[in-house]
Amino acid sequence: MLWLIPALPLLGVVLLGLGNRRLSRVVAGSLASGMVGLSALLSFATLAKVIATHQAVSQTAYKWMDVGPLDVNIGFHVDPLAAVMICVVTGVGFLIHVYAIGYMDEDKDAESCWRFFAYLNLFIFAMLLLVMADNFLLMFVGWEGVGLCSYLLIGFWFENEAFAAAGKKAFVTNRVGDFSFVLGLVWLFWALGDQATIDFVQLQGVLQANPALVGGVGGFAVTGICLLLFGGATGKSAQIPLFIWLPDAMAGPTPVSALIHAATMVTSGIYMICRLNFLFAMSPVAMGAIALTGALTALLAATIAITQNDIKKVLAYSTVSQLGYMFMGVGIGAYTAGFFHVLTHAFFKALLFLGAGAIIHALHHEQDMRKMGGLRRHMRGTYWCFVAAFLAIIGVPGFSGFFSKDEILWLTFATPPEQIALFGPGFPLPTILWGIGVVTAALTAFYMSRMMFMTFAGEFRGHHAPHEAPKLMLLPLVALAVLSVVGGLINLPHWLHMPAIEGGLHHFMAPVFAGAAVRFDGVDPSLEIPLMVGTLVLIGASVALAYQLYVKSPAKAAAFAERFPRLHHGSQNKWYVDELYEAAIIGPILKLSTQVLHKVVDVRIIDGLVNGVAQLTLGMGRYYSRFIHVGQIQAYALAIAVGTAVMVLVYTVGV
Amino acid sequence: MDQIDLHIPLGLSAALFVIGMAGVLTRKNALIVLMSIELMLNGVNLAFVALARQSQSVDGHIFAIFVMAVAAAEAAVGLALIILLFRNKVTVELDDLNLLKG
Repeated sequence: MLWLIPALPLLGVVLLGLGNRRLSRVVAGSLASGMVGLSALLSFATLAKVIATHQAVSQTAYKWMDVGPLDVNIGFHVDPLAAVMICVVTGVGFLIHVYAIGYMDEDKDAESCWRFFAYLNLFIFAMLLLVMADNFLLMFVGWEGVGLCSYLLIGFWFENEAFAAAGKKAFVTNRVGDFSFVLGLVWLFWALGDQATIDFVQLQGVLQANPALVGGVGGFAVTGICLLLFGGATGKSAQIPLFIWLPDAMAGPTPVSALIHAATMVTSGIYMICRLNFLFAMSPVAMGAIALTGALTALLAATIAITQNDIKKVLAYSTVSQLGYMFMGVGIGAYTAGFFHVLTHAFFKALLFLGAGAIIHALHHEQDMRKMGGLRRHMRGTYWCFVAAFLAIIGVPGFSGFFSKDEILWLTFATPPEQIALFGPGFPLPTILWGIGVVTAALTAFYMSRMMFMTFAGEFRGHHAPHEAPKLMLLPLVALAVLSVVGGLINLPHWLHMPAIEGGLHHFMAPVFAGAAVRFDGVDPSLEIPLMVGTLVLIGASVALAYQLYVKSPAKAAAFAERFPRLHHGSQNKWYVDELYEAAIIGPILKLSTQVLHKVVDVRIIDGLVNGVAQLTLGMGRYYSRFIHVGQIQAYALAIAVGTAVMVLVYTVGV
Repeated sequence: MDQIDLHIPLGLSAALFVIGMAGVLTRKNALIVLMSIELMLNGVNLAFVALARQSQSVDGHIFAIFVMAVAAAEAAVGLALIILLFRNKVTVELDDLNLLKG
């Protein structure tokens, strides 16, 4: 019954489309939530089955096409990795669907609510295809599907031109990445020659039996393929250089930001790398590039987040930053740790977004944190849920984010340099990555504290009196808060010395990552605890600093900003990356398109050719008709006679 | 039934057809062109009946009778057209009738 998991949300799309505007918000929302809820139950049943049997569940639902040696099936393969992922997608997805019923209560949306929920269901369907697919092609269908739904949902309020433009930006940026992804797939397919397969399990077998097909470990082909595939991941998962669309994607309704742009879709790049770990493990250079890109993205996004005033923008940059952590994790080969962070991040970041949504909802679509403050007293339930997510994301021991982030940091530090040989085997890249990671952790603590203090502490600075969120919105918050707190228990670190319960996720995932031989013995293991304590001290100091600057003496923050105007403006304007792209890439492309491709190639060459042929025919007709079209019937008769005679001659003689 | 030498009727048929065609292409009087067309049709008819007799089949005979019927109708329509043409243009010279051009 594996096929039912993605089929149910698809059924939801069909039903919502058939019902369309006859469906009220509550009916449409309940239908959509119900479908995802059923899907979630089936997902949990599948996970239980995988845990119990230690075996992947597969099903070929439909033979899609059969081209020569290539079989393409609508086939699903749920191994431990996919099993956990579908539970997150449908579980968190269900909570967010329920929340959205409460959130979308504005009058102006009453008519289009069915459309909103149809898109959400379509997204869940596409995401499940991406996760459960047993071959590249089906995965790519999901990959494009989630991009489409992201576009549709960012531009859901398309009457607002800026929002529609944000959707377009997300789509176009993703296309750049998708193009790279396709190139990687084609290269891989081409390199495999007559052993080509698009099935993941078969591919792993082919590569293990004959690694020379892609140039062996560290070969040119495998490095190129991995970098191109990673290029696709940078688009979908908002990494340097394609991260620019995610902050703008906050134009979508907040449940969308929580579901697509925090918890699920943006992690599909990490999921893809985990899925293809056996391939990526063959290229230490690509691994180094992934880890470095992740680390730099984490740092860059964190430095932008500390000066943003829009609550959703802070969370958006925070998401980019946390995704950077995940890439750092999978880049060093710590797939389980990276994926563990995907899980915990899905919980606490979805919670943060939903909490922010509750605040925005309560303040009548006010997103500027300078007009918030003092919400602690007005929105107690939201506040406590938010606190749980806050403690989880900054990495306070015991909360889920601590376990995942700390594991990534430690394993980064412990990676042998030759494993991520981007700059040669002797370069101390792991230590540098670790340093960036720790600085980012401190920055994370700072900007999250700043956000907490600006929204919840002090006095209310807005106009409308805020109100607590309705129960329908609060319940998903509470559920996610519980998950944010206890989510770390599924993968407790080994230094607790509790062999019975530690590393649960790690052991569960081990078969998936068995093909990638990675080691984390670059340094003395006894350093782990001191490093962790050091990181925690830095995090504590950051929180204390934020408290000083934003609660005790807010004037100091402004004075600090004025002392370093360039830094402050740079950060606030996202280091002018958008402007840089505009000037360096978009501008020239636009100019090339309009000035050369349009005015010369299209108008002159292509249109010229087509119109020229027509003109030539017309001119020739005009000219020759003077001699041929004379009006003498006998001239025509002669032409017919000669023509017939020639044809008879050709036929009989057979020239 | 004894076989005949096909050269004679087919040769005559070809001669009639070519004479007719020459008339159609060269004579300027519409009436004579019409008569030449009859000549061409009769050339074809002769080929039909000769070959029909050779192959012991009645198809060719039937076809010849069809052609005669159509030729009679065509002569009637053609003559009517020429009379109308003469009433309008006061000529049946084909060189003077050159309206059919672009």
